[in-house]
Amino acid sequence: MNPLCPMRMPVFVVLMGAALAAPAQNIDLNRLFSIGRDAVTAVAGVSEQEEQAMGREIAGRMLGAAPLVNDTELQSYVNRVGRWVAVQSERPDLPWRFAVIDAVSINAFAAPGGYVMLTRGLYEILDNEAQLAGVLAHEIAHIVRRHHVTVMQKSAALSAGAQLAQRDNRSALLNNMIGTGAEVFARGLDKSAEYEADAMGVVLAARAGYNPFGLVDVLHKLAARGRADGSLALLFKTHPLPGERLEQLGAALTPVLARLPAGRELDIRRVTATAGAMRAAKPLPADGARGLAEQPVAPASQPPKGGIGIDPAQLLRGIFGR
Amino acid sequence: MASTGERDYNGPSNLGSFSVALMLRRVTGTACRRWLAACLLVAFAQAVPAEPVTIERDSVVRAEPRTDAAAVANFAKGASGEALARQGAWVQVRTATATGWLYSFNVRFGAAPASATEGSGAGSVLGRVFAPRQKVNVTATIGIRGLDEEDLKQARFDGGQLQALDGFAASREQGETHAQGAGLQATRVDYLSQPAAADQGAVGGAP
Repeated sequence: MNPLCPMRMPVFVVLMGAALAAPAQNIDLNRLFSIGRDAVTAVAGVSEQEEQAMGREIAGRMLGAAPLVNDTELQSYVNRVGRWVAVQSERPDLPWRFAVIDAVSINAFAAPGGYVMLTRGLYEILDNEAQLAGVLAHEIAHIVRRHHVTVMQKSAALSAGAQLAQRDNRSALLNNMIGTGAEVFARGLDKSAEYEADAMGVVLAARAGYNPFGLVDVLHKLAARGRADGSLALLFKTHPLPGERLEQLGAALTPVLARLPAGRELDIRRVTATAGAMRAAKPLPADGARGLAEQPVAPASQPPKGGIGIDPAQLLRGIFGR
Repeated sequence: MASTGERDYNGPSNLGSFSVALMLRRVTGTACRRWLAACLLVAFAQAVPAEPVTIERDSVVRAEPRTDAAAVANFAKGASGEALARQGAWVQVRTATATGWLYSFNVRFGAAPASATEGSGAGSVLGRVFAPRQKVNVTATIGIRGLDEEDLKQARFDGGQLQALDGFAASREQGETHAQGAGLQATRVDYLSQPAAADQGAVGGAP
């Protein structure tokens, strides 16, 4: 089911509802609709800073659903591998963050602005570092190509009724794009975006000096597990089936196979986590956007300040004040 | 462990052959010994299963893992066999009729879907390479969560975890140091031209 389509009707209803319910007597429908168009186009441009703010919000929510695996050496290792692969991309200097999160499901996620998370369930089926690099490279490709930003823009643009209220409030607009919790990861991307990330992932891993077929190995593993494997339910719902991905990747790779470097596989670091979640010294209140606003900025590379808190006063101005 | 990318599938057979020798030495009667040897052979084949594969697409099979190597056979879609070795994008497969190399994209690991009951049964025959190294039993793992759609929708921002994550970030230099230590060399590789992803402009790179 395309989750976007059913929203078109409510948009219209909301617009009509706003027109009918508005206390102002002589509201101009044409003008109202043109405001709607403005709101839609306003969403189109998302700056890199906004992209990072959204990604940070989503990553924080994701960690609320599944915390970091309690293994500091492992987390540092994955960050070094991931950063080395990311350096091979067109966006080497994003504030890249890589995490292994404590969930048995097999999956990996990319939040805008440089946040990559893979589950412990996925990590533990990997045989070597080249496979890890392949998985991370796939997610890095999503971020480099801003795939999730595009999807969030589309879904936000369709709920233009809500956008009307937020045309002057960038924070509310971005929060609206993110939606509830980390649901953006439950929606999934276009198939073509996944195929593109696969093809780019193979190349990024190869550029980093790894065996280019690490990602292919992982797709074979997923294909062999099959649809009945419960730990793959969400991944299969949000991605083309691994068999189709192998087919696409095979078609894209076949002409260049002879030219790809052999690369290295390398041993992978195993998980040595102790039970229980890793906690930071002082957990911040789990209140989403406001929690984000209080985040200190890491000195090495700067995630955006400020966050995207909602200002009710501005929200009301957006609706009534003109 | 081979570092060139080639791997064999002959798993942990040392222990097996040791116990075979031990048992054969104890047996005195010739007939009995022959019978036992036959039994052990059967048991052996099951204990170290070659990885079953199904041919996904009609494929030319080559003597070596190179496109210019001699063609030795054709495998038809749906045929089944077993994987013997792998090298880069190539896998060496033996079927009832022939043995040779073909692209791994053209096979699927695991038994043919017709006989596979999908799920638990398939897992046990998968062999070592494409089966999980550590079996994660979802139902038996207590205290570690799955991550389903509902979990994602309910997800609440955890600033403390995010802060902890910041602490693990690697700088560009740290990434490069890791690569040097691991003997990884950056190589120029162009993006693939990819007809499938035409919606967002060129992926970049060369043809």
